[in-house]
Amino acid sequence: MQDRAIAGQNTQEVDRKINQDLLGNVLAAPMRFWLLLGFLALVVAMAGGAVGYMVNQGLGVTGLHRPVMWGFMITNFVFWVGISHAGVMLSAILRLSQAEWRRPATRAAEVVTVFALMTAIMMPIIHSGRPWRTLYWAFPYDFSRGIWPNVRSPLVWDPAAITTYLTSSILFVYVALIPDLAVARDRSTGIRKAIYSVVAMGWRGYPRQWRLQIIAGFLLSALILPVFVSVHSIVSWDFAVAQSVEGWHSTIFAPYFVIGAVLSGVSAVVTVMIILRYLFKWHDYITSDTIDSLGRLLVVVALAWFYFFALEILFGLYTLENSELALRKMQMFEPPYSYLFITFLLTAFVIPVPLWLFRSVRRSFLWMTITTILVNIGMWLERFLIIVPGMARKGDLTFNWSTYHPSIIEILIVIGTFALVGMLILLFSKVAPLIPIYDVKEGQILRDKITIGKVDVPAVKREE
Amino acid sequence: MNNGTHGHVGRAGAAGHDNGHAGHYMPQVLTKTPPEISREILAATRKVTPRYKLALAVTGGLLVLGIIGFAIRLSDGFEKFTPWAYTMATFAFILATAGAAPIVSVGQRMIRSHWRRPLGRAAELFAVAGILSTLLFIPLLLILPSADNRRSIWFEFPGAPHVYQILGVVGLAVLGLALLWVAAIPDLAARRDLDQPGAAQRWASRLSMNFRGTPRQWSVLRAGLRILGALYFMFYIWIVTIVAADFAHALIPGYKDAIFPAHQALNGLQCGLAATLVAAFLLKKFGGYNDFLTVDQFWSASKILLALSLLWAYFWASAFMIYWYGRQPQESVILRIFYAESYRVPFLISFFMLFLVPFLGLMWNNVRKSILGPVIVSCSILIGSFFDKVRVYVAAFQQGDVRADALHELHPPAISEVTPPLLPHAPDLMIIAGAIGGVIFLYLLAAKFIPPVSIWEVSEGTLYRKTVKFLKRSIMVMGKPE
Repeated sequence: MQDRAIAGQNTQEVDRKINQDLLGNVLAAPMRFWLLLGFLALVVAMAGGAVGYMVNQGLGVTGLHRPVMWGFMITNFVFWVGISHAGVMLSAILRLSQAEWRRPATRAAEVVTVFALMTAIMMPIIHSGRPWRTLYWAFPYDFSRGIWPNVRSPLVWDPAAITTYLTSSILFVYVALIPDLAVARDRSTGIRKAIYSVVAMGWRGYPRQWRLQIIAGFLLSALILPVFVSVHSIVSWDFAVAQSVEGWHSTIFAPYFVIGAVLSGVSAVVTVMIILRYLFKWHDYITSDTIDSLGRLLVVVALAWFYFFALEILFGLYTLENSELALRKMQMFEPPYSYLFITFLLTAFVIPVPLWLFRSVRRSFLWMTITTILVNIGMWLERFLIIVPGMARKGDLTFNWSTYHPSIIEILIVIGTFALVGMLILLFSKVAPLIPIYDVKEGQILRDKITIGKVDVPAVKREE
Repeated sequence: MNNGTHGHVGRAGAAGHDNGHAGHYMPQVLTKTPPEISREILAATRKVTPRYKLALAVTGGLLVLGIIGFAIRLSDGFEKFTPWAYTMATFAFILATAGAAPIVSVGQRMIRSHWRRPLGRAAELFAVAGILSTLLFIPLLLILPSADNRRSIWFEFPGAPHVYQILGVVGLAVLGLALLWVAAIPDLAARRDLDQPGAAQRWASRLSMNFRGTPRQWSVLRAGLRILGALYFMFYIWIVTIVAADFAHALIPGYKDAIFPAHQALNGLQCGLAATLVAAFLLKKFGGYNDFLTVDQFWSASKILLALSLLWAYFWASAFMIYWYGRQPQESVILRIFYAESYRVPFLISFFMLFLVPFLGLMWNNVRKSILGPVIVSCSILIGSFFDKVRVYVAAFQQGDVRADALHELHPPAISEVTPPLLPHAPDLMIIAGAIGGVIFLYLLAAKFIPPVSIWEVSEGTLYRKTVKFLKRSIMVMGKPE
């Protein structure tokens, strides 16, 4: 399956149309863009105010209290790290496997990765209640007093893995962006031209430059894969190595978290792409074929995720230990967690996956928007249900048990992160095209057809 | 019949990667017409060489040896686990290799890759081993106690585990045979129409179900393959999960490893592909299918093999990490049994052959883009996997006897003793040799009736490929049907 042919008399005309369509927002954004950006900025400002209030008043304004000291913000951290797995899944893996339909989706996926990671990093820092104190890890204030972070703790590996992933993802986006920055440079004037000239690094499209860019893309794709896997594995080990919390000490957590991350990440990319399609009128680029292919990928990923989910539950119950059974009972059958559990299962799997089996649903922008949003509601709840109920039952003695109700401050912060990622994506789209121009052009050149009998079969020129 | 390397296998472009363009490799294009393909594949299928007869005799002899070993083991009865430990490891190995091999065909057919066309049937033919694995499974099932009043994934579900285990194993065997048959119907029709009258032609005629290649018949055939393929894949994952849970996990008190069944299933996919590549290599080298099985199949499959080997290591590390970090008393004992003391040697062999050899070998494109490289790695994977099954299932069966109390308690005390390794006896070695020989024996027999290279899929593949001039080069155009 491949993207649709762009209408045009000849290659030059098609090139011109692609440049015009995909650079349209970079050079002159429509009014609806500014309206949406303004709205998102307002929500971010509200969340910023909530953070400021929390810093000023202390963590007491949140719903966190013993024994539930990880709540909405840590759930949100895990969620956004999960979303960040879309970029590598869609861009690196599909690039390595030469899937043609990846072309319009890669840039959006990579950009979602970068901004989701940036947002994720902020969450534990905000959660600390005294963000500046996290600097002590970087500057040797505590070291001089003999206080060292425990390097054997996954909580220390986390920042290392996430910052490595962020750095490599930024590099990944940048390398793929260079030819498009050069196109923007050649079509802008003044200070913008000067900036684009610097960041385009003298790109002229020489054969040697293309060769280097392609090699760099492939190398980064291959090198980023282990980082991609390690990031969410380490996040899962934040929980799984802890024996004191029931339900966490499970060997399946690492791959279960990674596959869940891919499910939520790819779903998020589908949602973002459909929104961008309507916002920028990219009907010729983000087509039913693109969404259909992503839908098929989602079916496979969702089934794999469900297998891991089933194993996690099954082997949790297997031991028949009273504490484990009590936890699972609380998660699944006792309100309010039971409502969340049912919602999670319905939205993450039971509703979307059977729907995706229908071609008409996979090719419908409306249905795909609804189902992919549902998946991410479900996946957010999944993280919440992993973290909070276990902590609520952490103590051996029943008088130590408690529950958790998020405060309005935490709710505002979580909403703010969604607005922040949306706002950053929109800002990025004002700087560089969110659909890779050169990739789409290459796809147009490589598309072909084979006639078998009376039928024309879509085909692609393939150079190994 | 062309036995040369480039006689009818043309390369698009001047001479493939030797044409002076560094790094420019063209997939090989089969320039034969569909009638030529039918004729040549059927000729190779019919041909019975002295080498084939020798292979049949040797593997048949091994099968007989295995039957004798099996009979000796039957005299040990079904009271204890230990005598059947190596039989269990052998069953698990066959399930992982022959049971998973058809998935190679199913998966690639679903994503419509072209390179799999000559390889798919070689994978599907392993389904004939389902008969053998079902027979091997019966005594193992007899040893297993019911799920009542003991820890298992069944939670005292009625009929568990025996009913579901046997349904799973028999179901997988039946589905595998059905998949093989349905995928072979057009080729059986070709045998019916092109063979001289005889027993094989008569059977081909019966089994081809009056297939004439009408659009409706093709449409039904494709729908059938899709449904059977999806069912086979789901059944395979299901049966590996419950076998791993009942025949290994549940026998070790205090063992809790949720990723273990998934790890076993993944190892199955790894072994299935490895077995397919080894079979394809032998078919190419000795079977007369040289023109159809080219480097493209080995190159493309080796990328997947590399990915599966990396995933195997990742799953292993995910499980090991939690146990190593947790260091609860029972976790330490399990680590000592599985990795550090009792079964250290099988573990080291399996780790080396299932991960290090594939990783260090297949990371190089030159190795991947060869025929021998992926085949050597595949052999390594098969050997490593056998030792992995020994490590897991023999250790578990040993615990089934050492900690028999755990099989009658809902909350047995966790494992606390490290037992010495259990070494195989003569009947065990006979069963291992017989089972592996039996799989090859059945495969060889089946490959003389059903063409091991799919005629219709290879012929179809030629329609989806053409070469065009692009700038100064000839490059390939590949059709991607909806």
